Parts: sequence; structure tokens; C-alpha cells
Amino acid sequence: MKYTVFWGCMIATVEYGYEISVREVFPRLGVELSELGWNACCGYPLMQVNSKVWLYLASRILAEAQRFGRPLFVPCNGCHISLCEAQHLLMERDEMINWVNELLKDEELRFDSGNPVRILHTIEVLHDEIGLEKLKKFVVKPLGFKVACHYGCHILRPTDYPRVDDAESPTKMEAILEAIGAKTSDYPERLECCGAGANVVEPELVARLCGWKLKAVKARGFNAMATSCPACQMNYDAKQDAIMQIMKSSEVSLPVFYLTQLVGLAMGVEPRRLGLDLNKSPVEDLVDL
Amino acid sequence: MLKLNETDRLLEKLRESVATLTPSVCYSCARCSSGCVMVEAGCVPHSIIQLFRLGLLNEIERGLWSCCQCLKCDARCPQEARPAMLILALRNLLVAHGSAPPKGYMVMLENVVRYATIQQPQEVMNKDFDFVSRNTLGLPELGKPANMEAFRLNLKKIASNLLEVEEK
Repeated sequence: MKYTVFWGCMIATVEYGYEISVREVFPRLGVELSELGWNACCGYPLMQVNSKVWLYLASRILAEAQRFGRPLFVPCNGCHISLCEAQHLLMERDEMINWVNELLKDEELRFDSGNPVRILHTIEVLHDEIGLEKLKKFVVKPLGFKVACHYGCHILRPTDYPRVDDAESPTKMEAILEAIGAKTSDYPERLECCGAGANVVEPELVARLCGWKLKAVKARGFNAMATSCPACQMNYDAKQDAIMQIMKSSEVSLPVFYLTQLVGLAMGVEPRRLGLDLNKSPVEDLVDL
Repeated sequence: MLKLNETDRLLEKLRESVATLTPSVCYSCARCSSGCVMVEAGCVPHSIIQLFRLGLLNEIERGLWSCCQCLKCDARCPQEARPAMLILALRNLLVAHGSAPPKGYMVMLENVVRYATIQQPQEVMNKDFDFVSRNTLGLPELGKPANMEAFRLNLKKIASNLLEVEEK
């Protein structure tokens, strides 16, 4: 399994725990990652103010990825929807390809509609590519504790082009967690959004939303939460102290992990090699740092 | 707030930009709003659809930027009315028409022009209260696009309504 990797902004500039754990875990599972050669915004947040800015930024990443001829591994949910949607749009509308390629000329890039990029998210690599049976063979320390899955919206929706899992009843993340010896189950708040898209405008409401979900997860008997998106992880993990202050409640305190950090732990990787000392939530309740 | 005489022209443009969507088929079952996490902030998807149908753009402006674009409403609508896409189209239209977007978007856009990413790599604190960076964590430099000048020029061309174009 050889992939080109596109990290995007959040992972590469602040959510280092995701990058560190992917770089540590994937090669052990037989995945070879090669770098894109540069990093730039996928355009997704800017779609809200100017959709053409988004289409340009996303298309240039697709065009660069085409040069490598390998599937493109995109660990961020936002970048994943951004690139999938841009490619969907380009493949459907020739005039969009022409517009994009006119701009890309100056950068010596070109999107080729005859060579669409296969875009893969972390959950797809673990579940569909490596596969659960193979993953199980690497488990030396089954986790044992109970983990709530938080998929993040943008790998499940919209429904008009293929996404990572079913929009209303996804199962892949649970299957991965069970394969690494964690306990998990469905819960009513499972598909609720972390609100990251509104952080720009409604930071306090977003914090309360996250606090509400963390509280529910804890009350339902889970020991931890797993995410696969840097925006969700930042909201639930890095902002947990702020959430506690806003909600004036310690009932929101819960260890929050990247899925790849949990996979690494089950494989017996030393916690700091998975960036677990960078998590802000109390992961030390479950892991010896 | 939009001036009344501007509303009609904008409404026409909005109708054009969502022509491939079908907000007119909404029968207000409010399934979208019942699952929306931003209703509290004044963003009520089924109301937005109805206000659009009634042509009351000024009323939609309230709460418009609170939508977090989780796309749940789009996925769950039994009529495929696509409230989230309508919100996206209206945001784009208002910005193109000269409305200032929330500041955070401008900060991100200006950073992308400057650094290619929405922010530069940050130092973060670990559990030992040490500040660490990509470098101290042993993470490689990821680099910027090879031709930053062409990259910037393209962005300024596309977003000329938002970015000042430098005259040479």
C-alpha cells in the first residue's frame, strides 16, 4: 500500500498528534506514505465566502496528486470532503475543468479528467485497505476500555457522491475499535456535529455543544471518545478546559483520542511516540504517559 | 442589512445560483431544523427555505453565518431541498455583493495568500508544560507551493472582491 499524503492546514499547523500517530502507526501496518512536496489550504473553509477560491485551491491539490499516480491519503475530514467534492464537480462539468486549468497553467499544473484521484480517509485505510483481519494480527495490547465513536460530519455527508461510510448508520469506526480490543456501542448523540464550522461566529455556543456531547458520552458509561478529524479533536480535546469553564462543570472531562493513537496503543507503541503528551484532555487517566 | 431595491436583484441572482437545487419542493416538515445544532443561534433551516421562497432576504440574513455546514439538513431532507446549499449560495452572493464576511474568514483568506495555509505552524504545550514545535517534535518541513507568486496572483484574481489587488 503506497499513498501520497496530503495533511492540510489543521494537522500540519497545530493538531500534531494526528500527524505523529499516523507517521508512527501506518508504516508498521505496511503503509508507505510519500509527501506531496508542499502543503497548502484545501479551500474548504473559504468555500463559504467564495466558492471559486475553494475550487481553485482544491483542484491544484488534485492536479499535483495526479502526478504521483498513487491514491491520495487525506486524514482530515474537511480536506477529504473538499477534495472529493471538487473532483465530483470537475468530473461532471467540463467548463469547470477549463476554468481551473487556465489558472493552474501558471503553476505548471493541470487537472486531467481521464485520471481521477482515488482519495482515501484514515478510516478507509484502516477498514477497507488494511482490513480488520490484518489489523487484529498487530494487536498486542487490546484496549479493554469503552470508547464512543465520533465520526465527524464531513466524511459521512453529503449523500450525492461516495463518502467514507453510511450517512445515518456508519459502522466502520466501531469495527476498527472492536478489532483493537476496545468496547463500543451506539449512543443517541453519536452523529451530532462538534460545530467546528461555526467556531468563527459562535465560539461559545460551539463550546456548549461540545460540552453537551462530552457530558452525554460520559454519562452513558464510555471511558473515552475517538475522533478521526482534527477540527473535531480540537473542539473536544484541546478546548476541553474552556468548555469546562463555560459550562461551569467538570462532568465534561473525558479522555479524547485520535483513532490512530488508539490503534497505536493497541499495537504496543509507546504513548509519547503517538503524540499522546500533546492531547489536552485527561488521556493519562487511561494511559501511562 | 440590504436596501429594499437591492433585494429583488439579489433574489434573482440567488434563484439562478440554486437553480439546480429544488428549495421550492420543501413542505416545511422541519426535519432539518429538528436536527440542527445551530437553531439556538437563529439559524433555522426550514425557515430559511421558506423566507427564500417568500423573497424575504433581509430576514434570512439573521443567523445566516451561524450555520456550521454539518450538512445534516441536506442529508436528511425527504425532498432534497438542500438548505445547507442554499445557505452557502446566499453567503457567497452577499459577499460578492459587498457584504463583509465574519472576520475569521478574512483572516484565513489573508493567511492563505501569505503562507498558503490558514495559519502558520504553531507552538503547542505538551503535558510537561513545554512548548513544542514541528521541529522539536521531529516532524518534517512541509514546504510551500513551488510558485508562490503565481499562487498569490491567482487568489487575488479570483477573490478580487475580498483582497486588494496590488498595482505594479
